[in-house]
Amino acid sequence: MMRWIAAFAGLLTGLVIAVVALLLNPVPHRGLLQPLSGDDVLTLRYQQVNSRGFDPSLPAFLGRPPYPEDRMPLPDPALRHLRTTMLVLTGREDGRLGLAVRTSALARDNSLLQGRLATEEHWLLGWPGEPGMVATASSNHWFMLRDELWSRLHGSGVVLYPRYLLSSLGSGRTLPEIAAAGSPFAGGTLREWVEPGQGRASHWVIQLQPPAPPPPAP
Amino acid sequence: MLARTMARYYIGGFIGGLLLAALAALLWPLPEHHRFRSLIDVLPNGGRAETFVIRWPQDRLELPGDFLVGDRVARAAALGLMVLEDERDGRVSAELFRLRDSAGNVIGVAARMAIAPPAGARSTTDWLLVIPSRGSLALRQLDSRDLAARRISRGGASWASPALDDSRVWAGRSRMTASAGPVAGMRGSVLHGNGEFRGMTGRHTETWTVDERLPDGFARGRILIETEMQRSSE
Repeated sequence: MMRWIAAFAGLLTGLVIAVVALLLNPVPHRGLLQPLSGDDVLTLRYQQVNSRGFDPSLPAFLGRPPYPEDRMPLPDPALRHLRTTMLVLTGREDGRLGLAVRTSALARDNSLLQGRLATEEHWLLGWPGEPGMVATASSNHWFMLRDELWSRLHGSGVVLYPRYLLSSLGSGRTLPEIAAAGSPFAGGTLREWVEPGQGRASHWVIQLQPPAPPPPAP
Repeated sequence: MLARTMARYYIGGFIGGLLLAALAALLWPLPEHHRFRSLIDVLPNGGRAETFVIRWPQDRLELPGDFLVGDRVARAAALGLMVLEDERDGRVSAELFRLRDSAGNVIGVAARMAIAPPAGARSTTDWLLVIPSRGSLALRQLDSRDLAARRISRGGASWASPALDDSRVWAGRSRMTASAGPVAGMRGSVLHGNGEFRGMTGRHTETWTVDERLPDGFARGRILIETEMQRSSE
């Protein structure tokens, strides 16, 4: 009997240590993309309020999506793991308003072992009187979900960090990209992070940057 | 002796726990997108043709919540529509729809963003078609008229997408080509592809068809987006 108790204690210890090691897994850090810098970076803020579809929560990523009625699920089989949002972007520098539609689909290469709980982001952005933009990116929610889980287990309800980077390398190690014929941002890149509201509404921030100019001819 | 045996059992259990957790993480059935068979025709030049369908009004995606930023942003939640005006009466409007294949299966969502300059000139539309199991496809077109949403005051609505919800556009006709360029033949162009559509170039036609005119001035119908694409290396 004592032997089986010892084995069970070992099993529990092994499970706990494996789960902790999984949560502290350094691998996802390598895929995260740092915020952009430079005078040509356009920084925009928004609050995510007009969303429909799956909620990017841990149960949803694990295949147990909660679909309360107020979330307005998308019941079609092909749309079950998709979220679409209409939002108003506000320029951080000039306060200029723009419209965007953001569609997030669960990434097809998610992996718990690799710390990847990602969504593929598809953006449509527009400002009155300017050519529109389309952007694609990948957002890894691993760190935010991990800390939310820890926060719930801990019972504090406080998110640990003031900012969570979301932009990461996509499947095939692709970088975020902007397609915008007629715009200086065509061929540029995008970053996104979230600033948790600590009990209030969270803010999301995206950055757009045009491509680097070609080096001068020798 | 007993202590050594206990230690052996403990270490065995410990390794078992590590392996169990690793296996669970490896084999946990993460969700996958449902995929319908792609309905693609192969063209004589080796390219591919695919038609996407939106039925309105039933494919409009209603959004929850309330959203107001000053008096220059308006939204009609029931229509899945949002409009932003600037000081010079330029407008940008965004609409959301379910996206169907040519057999009528819902395969994704389509977002339409029309940008209209002031003074009633023709708008430019960007379409973003997101098919979760396949990727996304962005299309751009010069519109055949101003197709950005505009103010109306009828049937309790304050904003409407002109051709989709305003039957004045349809006087005397039941079919209209919404795209008018930049490609010859009233066609728009493929702007960007992602996932399965990465590297695709090509053109498309957007056509609106009215099936039924309603007494309140609105209509029922279909949007057809007919694409012809090929890989840029082909």
